[in-house]
Amino acid sequence: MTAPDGFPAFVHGRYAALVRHGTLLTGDHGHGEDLAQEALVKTYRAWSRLHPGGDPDAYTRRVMVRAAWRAGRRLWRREVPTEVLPEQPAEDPYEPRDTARLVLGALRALPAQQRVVLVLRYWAGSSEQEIAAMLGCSAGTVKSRASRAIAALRQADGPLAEAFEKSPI
Amino acid sequence: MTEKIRALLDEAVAGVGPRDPDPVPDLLRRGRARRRHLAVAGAAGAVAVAVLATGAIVATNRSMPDNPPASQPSTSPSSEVKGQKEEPVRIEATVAGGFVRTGGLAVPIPQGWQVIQDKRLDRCDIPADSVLINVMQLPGGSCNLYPQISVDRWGPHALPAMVSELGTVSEVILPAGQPVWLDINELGHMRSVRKKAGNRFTVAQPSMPWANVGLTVQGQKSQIDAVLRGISADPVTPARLTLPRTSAAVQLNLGDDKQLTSTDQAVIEQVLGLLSALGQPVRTGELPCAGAEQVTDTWRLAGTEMAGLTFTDAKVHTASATVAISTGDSCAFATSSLGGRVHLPAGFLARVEQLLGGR
Repeated sequence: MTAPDGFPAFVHGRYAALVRHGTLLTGDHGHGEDLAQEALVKTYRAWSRLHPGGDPDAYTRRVMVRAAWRAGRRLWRREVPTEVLPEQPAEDPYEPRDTARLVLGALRALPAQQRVVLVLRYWAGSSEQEIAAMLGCSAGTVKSRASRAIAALRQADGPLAEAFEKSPI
Repeated sequence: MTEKIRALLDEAVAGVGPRDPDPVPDLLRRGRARRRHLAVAGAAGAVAVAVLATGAIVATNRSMPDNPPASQPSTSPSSEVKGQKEEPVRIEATVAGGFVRTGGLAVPIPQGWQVIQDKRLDRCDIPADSVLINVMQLPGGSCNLYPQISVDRWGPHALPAMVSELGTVSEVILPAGQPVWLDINELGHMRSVRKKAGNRFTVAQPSMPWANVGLTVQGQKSQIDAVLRGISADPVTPARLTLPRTSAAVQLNLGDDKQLTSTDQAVIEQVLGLLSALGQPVRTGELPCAGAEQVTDTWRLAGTEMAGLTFTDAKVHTASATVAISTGDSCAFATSSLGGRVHLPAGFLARVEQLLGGR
């Protein structure tokens, strides 16, 4: 099966980073890799427009972000922010409480759209205006998602809660 | 603090690696299977033929913003996007006589509320009962939502995303004849708030395309009703659709992730020609559909389930205009974000779909 020129090199070069991005957007390694692969299928289909003059990495990440955002659209709106996170399974006191597991667990506990905005804002370093443009929503929506995410994380336990709690924003 | 959060998120995925060591063969197989599926799937089959024939018309299940030009900002970690500046897209507004005025839109300032302009503020430092204009709200804080009005920039890129992500758009007409667009969540929310008794805290986010303004109004239900009731606009003369002269691409968003896109100049000219030829403007105060539903105390629906037809500026590759089009043939009309509302002849949307290879 012949691959289009440049596509295998792009995938091999960026796949690991895209899987990490997907893991943050979904809060789960397996779902994150699925998200990256789904986006790369679309990138493959658009390859003639993206190579060599385009930016396939930005395109792929954008597809991932929009798919992750769309996953939360059914629960999108108007919910009053909860004071506590949804009930979680009881912790096993003997299981290692490593930072990665706790952070991903906290991300998973957030509604999908709050998680997407949080990752774009704090990990990708995008401005609220850029996020709004990317997701096709208002800056006010981005603000409310971000603030609700932070409020929810502060109510939880773990390193993200501490990071948001200890420093003024 | 931002660095600390980023470091934690980096640490969370530092040990994450691909489970599939070589995904390329599987990606190629899936990509080709998808193409075959499109090629044999009814109307999409015709589109695939068009793609092969011209290389210019594509029908995808993605929205236009998923086809970014090379200049599109990356969403990669900040270490890869140095130098980004966080500047709000300003709107030009004046405050006088108890109103915020911008682009022909007048938003009432509730009695006793303060106006804050051109500032960067921590979200939790913004006082209750504020009207925000060009205010950069820094995220964070664990404060509650307070009564607030925020006047934000709205751009025509928002409609295709609104339609593709959330389904079709609905339209309300202000007394002066200007349209207000509501996405399907917004409409559902307004309906539910209207049905529920009590004065609960809520949020409304209508879009005023002709003023390039997206409003966020949060407060008690009675406060929101008062603000929406007090919104007014400069009178508009009924007119044909205002359209861009040229476009690099045109995309029709039909909801449910169905999009048809063309970059073929001949097709784009035909679509623009069809729209330009529409010669029956909707009269001020006329609601094309009888029995229009009341969604607030003062707002009645002019249309629901409208598709979005968006044109892209050839130079900067962003949306330059968008036209909302009724998807049904009864009491059908179209509204341009650049101005103008017109009645549509039967079968108009089907004709546009046909031009774009969708039928």
